[in-house]
Amino acid sequence: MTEAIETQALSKRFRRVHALRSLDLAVPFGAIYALVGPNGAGKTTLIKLLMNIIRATSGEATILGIPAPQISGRAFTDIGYMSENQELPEWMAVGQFLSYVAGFYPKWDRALEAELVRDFELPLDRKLKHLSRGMKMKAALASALAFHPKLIVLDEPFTGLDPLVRDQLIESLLERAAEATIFISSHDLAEIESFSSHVGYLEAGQLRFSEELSSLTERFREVEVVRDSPAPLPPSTPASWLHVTDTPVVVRFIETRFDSTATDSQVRNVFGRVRDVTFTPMSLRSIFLAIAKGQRGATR
Amino acid sequence: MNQFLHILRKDVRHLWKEILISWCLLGLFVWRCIPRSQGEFTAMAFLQVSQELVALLLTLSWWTLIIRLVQDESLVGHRQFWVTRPYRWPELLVEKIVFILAFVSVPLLIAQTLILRLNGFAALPYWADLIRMQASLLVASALPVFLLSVLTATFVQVILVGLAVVLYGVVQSALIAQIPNSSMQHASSVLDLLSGAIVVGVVAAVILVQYARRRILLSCGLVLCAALLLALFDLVTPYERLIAKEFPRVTPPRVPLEISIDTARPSQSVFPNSGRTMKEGKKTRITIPILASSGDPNEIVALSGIRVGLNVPDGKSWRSNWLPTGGIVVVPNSQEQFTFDVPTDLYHSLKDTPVRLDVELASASYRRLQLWKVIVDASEFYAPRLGVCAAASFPTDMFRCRAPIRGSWLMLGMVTSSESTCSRSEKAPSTGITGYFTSLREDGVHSLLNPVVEETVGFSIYGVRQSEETWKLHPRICPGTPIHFSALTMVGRESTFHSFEGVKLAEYADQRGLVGGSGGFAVMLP
Repeated sequence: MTEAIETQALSKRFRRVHALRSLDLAVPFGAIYALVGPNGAGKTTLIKLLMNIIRATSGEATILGIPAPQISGRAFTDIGYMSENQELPEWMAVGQFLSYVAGFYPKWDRALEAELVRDFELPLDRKLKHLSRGMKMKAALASALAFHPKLIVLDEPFTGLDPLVRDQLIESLLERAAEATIFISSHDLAEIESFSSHVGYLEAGQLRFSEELSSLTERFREVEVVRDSPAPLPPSTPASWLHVTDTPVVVRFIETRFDSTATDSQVRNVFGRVRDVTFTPMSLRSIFLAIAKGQRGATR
Repeated sequence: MNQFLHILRKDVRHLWKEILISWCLLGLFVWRCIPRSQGEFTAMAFLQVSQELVALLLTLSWWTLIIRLVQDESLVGHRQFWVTRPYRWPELLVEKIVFILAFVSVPLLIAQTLILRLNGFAALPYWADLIRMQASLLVASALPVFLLSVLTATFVQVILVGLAVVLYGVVQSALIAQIPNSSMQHASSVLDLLSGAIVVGVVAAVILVQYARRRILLSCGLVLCAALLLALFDLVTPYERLIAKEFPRVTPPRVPLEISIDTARPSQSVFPNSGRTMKEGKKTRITIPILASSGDPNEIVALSGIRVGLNVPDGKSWRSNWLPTGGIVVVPNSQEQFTFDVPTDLYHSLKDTPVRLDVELASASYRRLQLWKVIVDASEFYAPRLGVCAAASFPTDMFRCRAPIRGSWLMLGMVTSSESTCSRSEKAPSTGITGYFTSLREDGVHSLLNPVVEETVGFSIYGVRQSEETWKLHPRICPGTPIHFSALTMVGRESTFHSFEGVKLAEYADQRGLVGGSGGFAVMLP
């Protein structure tokens, strides 16, 4: 078992809607894996399949070596799951809720619980139904972390939270990162960019790519080429170049297989003599936008 | 085990208000079941209603408790927090069952024991019956609500699905009523056993599927399939054959019932004519006066159903379906009548033609066994098999008795005016009037809640319709009046065939026109 989460040709169909199409995913142990994609991409469906909340139409998935359809009962002692729209027992006070949940986990850490309560500033005697959305999310997260799970699965945990609460949650997650694999879905790139080790991009039920964040940011560059004199764009450009635009002298594109030496020589091969070539690192957001535009362009 | 107790503690903490309400209502129910004083017997109708209202509220409180209990870990939907926690479903299911036993069944058992004690009966001899009552209550009341709760996520959904189930029941009953002979009591068939097995099996399967897998579509599919299958069973049940099995044709020389057309009586219905002119319907009601006697003076006969046939000399014939009917033949040469409906077209074509009338009567015969006498007391008095009895006032023709859970209750009671101890002015003007009380119930327990069965023992003269003057014919009971009781044992259920030649339907047509669609039977003293 080398992967914390692994899926093979995983598909889910809701009547005529294909929510997931033959998804192959691998999340290595110890990773902080961010699954990103627009609303309706299939992120929540994938997580529900992994958590055995719903069943796949076809394909296989294993979580911590256990087939997803067998994830229940004892298997959840190693999995901390939280979702943005989870229904909590709202009649309980925070303290009651944590005590109740603690009873299900042999490895529940009271000290860690106290630490999380303190860090999150949770009011133990207040009922969940009287808490704000952010506080509820904190209570849910505390209940999903205090037993040292091997895998933490979070479905859109930061949606609708103010930046302060979001940062608190992220900080808490990072403190757990050493002992757990974290799988987190989000439609907001900015919120996961700062701490993810791996990233996957899901769109229309298909995984467009899945790789380490460092390798992703390494291989994407905004390239600006300043030519000596105005000239038409060559009829063909390398396939790894996206969104090639030109003005009479300046050509801009996004290189998806960046290597400083190789890309530089490739530019010179295509354009001949150039006055200047600049390679600008891209933010994750810019990379995703570029990919998304590229995919949509290809689809059209 | 730890998890079981952990969830149980949580449920108790969450549902303590519902538990408390149900316990308060249970306390109120016990209070309502405390025997009333003599004076309060006059308010019996009011008390009955109140007790029923409390019982209804109590049942509703239990249903609420069960629904909230099950839906606290809702089995429908994808967003419940507990679904992704290390719940072990067998322990969760067992916890729900134990909760119901602990907070519904056990308190009820204690309450029932208390009710028995407060009514002056020892509880210990009836523990097996009490446990049986609990089991019946769980199957009849708790299990359906539990089933609805595992298939729904909210209280409103339970109500809507419950209404759908009621609607299904109404539609199914209406459809069954259209099937010939279906309304008559009949022997159970393989299909009945299969239906029972399907209901129990599907309920158990759905609950297990929901707890183990939460497959709502599969569960709903199972329920729908079962509902369709049960409706299909009702359609294909061979009712006529089962009636023949339940009431086999009597074999000579046994003659359980003798009947003849009562030519001395007017041929009109004995019911007073309302004087209204009814619009002619599709069917015409025929009412034929009859003299009926039990074939054996030691037996009384209870009628269950009737089927008639009309045969015309030219070969034309018509036969009705089996129709349920009531009536008990207690005394010889009882005046009675039977009533049936014939298509109006047929009636008009045959009304003046002498026809042969074939009558099949389905009945149950009971033999009188040992006799015992009870002397009525001014206060409470004990009557064997009836329990503790008391009358609201004297003179009377009825009193009420309360007894612990009964088994079968087959008995005949008689009181004659010649033995009445009432003063002359209180006695009925006629002498030699005998009032009869019959109880032919084979299933004794009437309530699943109250272990003390309260019965009205009323003496009446069979077949006399109530009018302003008939009260004079009722026997009067006063302190010291003896009442004679006989235990009855069932001889058997059987059907008898009777044939009458030369009957002209026009002489027996009910002048009020058609009323309903059932047969009828009544007996009058000569």
